[in-house]
Amino acid sequence: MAISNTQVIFDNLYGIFTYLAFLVGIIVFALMAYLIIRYRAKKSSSDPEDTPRLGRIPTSRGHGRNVLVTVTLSTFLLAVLIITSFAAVDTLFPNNPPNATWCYSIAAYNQTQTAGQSCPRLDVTGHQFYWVFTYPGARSYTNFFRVPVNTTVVLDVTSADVFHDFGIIQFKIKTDAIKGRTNTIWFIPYQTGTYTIQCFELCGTGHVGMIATLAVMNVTAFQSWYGSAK
Amino acid sequence: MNTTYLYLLVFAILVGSTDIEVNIVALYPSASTGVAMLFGTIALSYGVIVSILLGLAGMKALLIALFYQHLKYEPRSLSSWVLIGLVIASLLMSLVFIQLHVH
Amino acid sequence: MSQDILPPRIRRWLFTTNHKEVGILYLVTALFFFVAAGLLALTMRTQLSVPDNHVLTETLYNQFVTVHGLLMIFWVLSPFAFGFANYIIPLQIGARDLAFPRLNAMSYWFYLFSGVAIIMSFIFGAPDLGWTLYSPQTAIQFSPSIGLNVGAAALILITVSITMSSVNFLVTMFKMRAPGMKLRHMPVFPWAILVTIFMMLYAFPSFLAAVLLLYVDRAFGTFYFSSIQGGALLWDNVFWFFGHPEVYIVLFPAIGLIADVIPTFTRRPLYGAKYVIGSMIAAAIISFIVWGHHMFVTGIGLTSTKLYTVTTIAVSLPFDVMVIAMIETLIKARIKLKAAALFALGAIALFVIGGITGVYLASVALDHALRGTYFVVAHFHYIMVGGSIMGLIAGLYYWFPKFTGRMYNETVAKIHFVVSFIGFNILYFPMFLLLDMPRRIQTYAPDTGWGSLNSLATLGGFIFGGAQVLLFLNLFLSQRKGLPSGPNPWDGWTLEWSLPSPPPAHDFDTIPTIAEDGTYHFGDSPGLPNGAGYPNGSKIGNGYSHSHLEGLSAWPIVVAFAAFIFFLGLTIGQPNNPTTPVTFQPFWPLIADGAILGVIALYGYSRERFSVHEETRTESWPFREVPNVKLGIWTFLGAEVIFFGVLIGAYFFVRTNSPTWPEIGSLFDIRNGFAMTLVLLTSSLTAIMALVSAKIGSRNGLISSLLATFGLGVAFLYIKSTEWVYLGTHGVFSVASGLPATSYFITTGTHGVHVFAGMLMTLYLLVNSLKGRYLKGDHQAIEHFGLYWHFVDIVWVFLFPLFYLI
Repeated sequence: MAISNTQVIFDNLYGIFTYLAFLVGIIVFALMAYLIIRYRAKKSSSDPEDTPRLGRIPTSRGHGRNVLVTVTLSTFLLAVLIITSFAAVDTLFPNNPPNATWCYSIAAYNQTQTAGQSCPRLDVTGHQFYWVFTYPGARSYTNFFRVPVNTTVVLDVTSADVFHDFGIIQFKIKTDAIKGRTNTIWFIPYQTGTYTIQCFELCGTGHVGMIATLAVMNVTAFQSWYGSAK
Repeated sequence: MNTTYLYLLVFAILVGSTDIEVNIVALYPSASTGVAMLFGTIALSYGVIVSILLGLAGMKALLIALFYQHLKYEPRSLSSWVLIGLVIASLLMSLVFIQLHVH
Repeated sequence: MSQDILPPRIRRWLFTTNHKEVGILYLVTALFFFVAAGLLALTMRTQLSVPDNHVLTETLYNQFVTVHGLLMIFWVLSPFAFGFANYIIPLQIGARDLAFPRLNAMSYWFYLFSGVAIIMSFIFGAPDLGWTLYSPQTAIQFSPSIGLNVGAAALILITVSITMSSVNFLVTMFKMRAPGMKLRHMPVFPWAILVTIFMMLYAFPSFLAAVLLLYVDRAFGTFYFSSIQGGALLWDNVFWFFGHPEVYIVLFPAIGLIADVIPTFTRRPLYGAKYVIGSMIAAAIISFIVWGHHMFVTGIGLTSTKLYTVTTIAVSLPFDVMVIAMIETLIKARIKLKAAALFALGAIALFVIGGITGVYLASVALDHALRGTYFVVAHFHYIMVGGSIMGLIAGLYYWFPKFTGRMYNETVAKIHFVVSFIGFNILYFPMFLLLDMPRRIQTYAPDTGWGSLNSLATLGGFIFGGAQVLLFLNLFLSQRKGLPSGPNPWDGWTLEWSLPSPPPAHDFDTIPTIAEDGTYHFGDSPGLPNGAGYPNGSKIGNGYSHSHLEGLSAWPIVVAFAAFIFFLGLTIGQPNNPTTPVTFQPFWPLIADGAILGVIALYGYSRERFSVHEETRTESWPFREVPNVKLGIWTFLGAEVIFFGVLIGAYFFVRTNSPTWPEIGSLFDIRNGFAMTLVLLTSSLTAIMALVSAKIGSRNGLISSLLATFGLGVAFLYIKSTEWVYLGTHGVFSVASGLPATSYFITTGTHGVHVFAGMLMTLYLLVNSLKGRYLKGDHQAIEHFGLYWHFVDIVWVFLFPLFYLI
């Protein structure tokens, strides 16, 4: 199910990694199991000719060629992973995030929308042990915030005290909340509903309860909430 | 005593370059212009002077290591061994530099 | 020291310097901490078994999480491996002991006392912020607990222990191999230890610097890690610059051990042995440039994160080669699935899973979702428990007959493996599926749906933990009642198997030589000792056959105890202002006791007649012409380069992150710095003149040069202290007044301590040279002092422009 653009990108990439992981894992384990069963010591068999024995350094064994083949094959696999990861990270966490559009439904921002400019970013601040979400005009909410569905939301995340980590669990995105720094993340929610935000860095006694809620609303509901709430 | 002269010569170079270090500071853009000092409008910018200073320090360190710690006369294996520490320290520095200055 | 008042048994274990006994001490202590840390883990698993559980309070849970991590990483995995290394490596390379036996004993006692300190921290409120000790939570205003200070003391002590033992092993393995034993003839285990200490040598100084700065922050109210100008990221950088190599530090010994166990039980040589060793070296080097993958979500910028993604993914290639080589070893083999082989093969299988999932975390894109979740916990436990602990247990079964002369019960050992392996996977595999669950949380709500997987993991935890009872029972009973093993029960090829089990105190009657064709010679003829086939080992003495009382020294334990007292004194005081703590008052009486005892003990140590037996013929490429002590000093200085590199890097880091910095000349008088530079440069000249005088035999020249060096040291510290006093009394410039002050006082202060230590050495040398020592051929001590002194000079050569001129 597509919950947000970030979750879709994560799931696709995770799928590629897992597919290759199983491929490699099955080959390695099958080979290991086969070799162990095939070459188990039998009473009747005797040691191979080159068995290492006390009294001399063992003869060397193995071809550089095989090592080269292994490394080349792995490099090829790993290159796929690097390239797909870079593509994902360029979209998800670029140095300059895309324009925010969450405010386009609100009358006060009609000009912004016409000009195709970015809506203000929302500020997120981690405190021991709660999250504060701030909308334009210093409207702030503790431990919950709301955004309209299918719009781009950009968050500036920071901390008021210790090292926290802001993660929206179902959206599969996260960024550290560090005092003195602002880290930016963005997402487009695809489904209305509520989602869990939790702190992912141990930040003291109280960390376990540092949980907030994100409500993704349909546009009209968001409009009326944003207009009525003060 | 040849070695004594060598050590005295090294000492002279060390002191001489320290003198250069101290005097080069006078070439910094004037302090009163504030920001210009950091970004440098006159001949020698801040970055250039810092590079010269660090280069001189590096040269002094090298002289001390080569002659006073007589690495120059030690087997190649030992000097390479010492070099490894420096290489790792400089890897640390350069990656941190990228973190701070390249985004 | 009057050591004779104690009974011989106790004296032997307290004062031993024999590598085998020290090895046993390491192993027993590490296993003790393994049980302690394991019990913490089982308690946490109980707490997590069902949602909304409250067996442990959150504070206690956080303390358990932290101490479990610290104990396993610092006090279990490495010491466990170094117990083997102590016992086995001298035997495998044909040496009679380590290069510096007393230093080795001292390493152990530092390790033991550091462990006592970390356990003691529970009395004061143990560290409760995760083993990674992220700042600024470590700042005293967020964590006023004294337990964290005591934890810092423990970490400093164990870092000292590790640094001493890495210098020791390095010199031993480079310089003391049996004649004819080229580096490439060494088995893989010693190679793995060699690569491990290489990483220890350069990674731990960074950690030491980090912990020292943390301590200074807490004690004196400085701002390295609590500053908003990059303090948190500074800790991340210096901690993980150490932290990632540390992962391989705890892993490589087990890999090396497995690579030696597998050929013994498959009866075929290791496939591509030289590529395995080459891969280890490659991975060790790359391990120093991957630390940023622990910082993917700190916002360090796209270029950096991509760079670290590439280096981290690339580091999987050498591991790939190692694993494939081990598997290819099985081809056309004759595999005997004894317990040691089962654990070795099992460890590889688990390591493969840990390695593959590591690639997930190397990807910056996936890490944004997986960071801080149970996926990470599963991944690194597959590496550290699956790879390291399982591999080390293979070593325990493998060498148990060598240590005790007796066999363990094979059937019980196999049951131990099967139950452990199954329990392990029930314990950790579900955690991969918990990829949404944050790690280090004390409990979770029922509606998260994490309950059933957690219950399963807890079940697995108890199976895995319970299985270890079999291990301890088996080994404990077998070392008393097991059947005699003989010298070589597994028909292994490495040199330790040529000795009786357990080996005699001096190890080898005759040091073996390795001929060009790779055969061992004991004495003149090829073959085993005395040409009589396997030595007769069916007789087992009472306990250890090396229960002799030679080579005892009481000083190592006393020095370590003094250091323990000293650091405890530094850390167990009271916050100066308990309501809003900013600084911290150390407990001076203990510091004084520790310092006095330490000086006495070090003096006793240096005066004690302790002869180290040095073979005349050893294989010592590539350091044939470098004496042991000199190699040791240069190695130590290499570690110091990293230590000061980190301090200077920290200065550079906070300065770059600060929007403003005082202008040149506004804080420090350049003339002061210039004067100190001249003084120190001149003292280098006098130090080298001392060496020249000693070499040509001029006693007066030596004494006057040393006097001049000492005087110049005094002059340097005098100018320094007047500057400090001036800065402290005039205006706002104190340690606590911001980053320019903090970085200045800490960096030049650390340098000042080095100068002071050098002056103490000068004093010691002066006293002895007045007695007419060090002349002509006896000049080594003067030379070694000089190497240190010039290094301190070099550090100042960089500090002068960095602080005064830019």
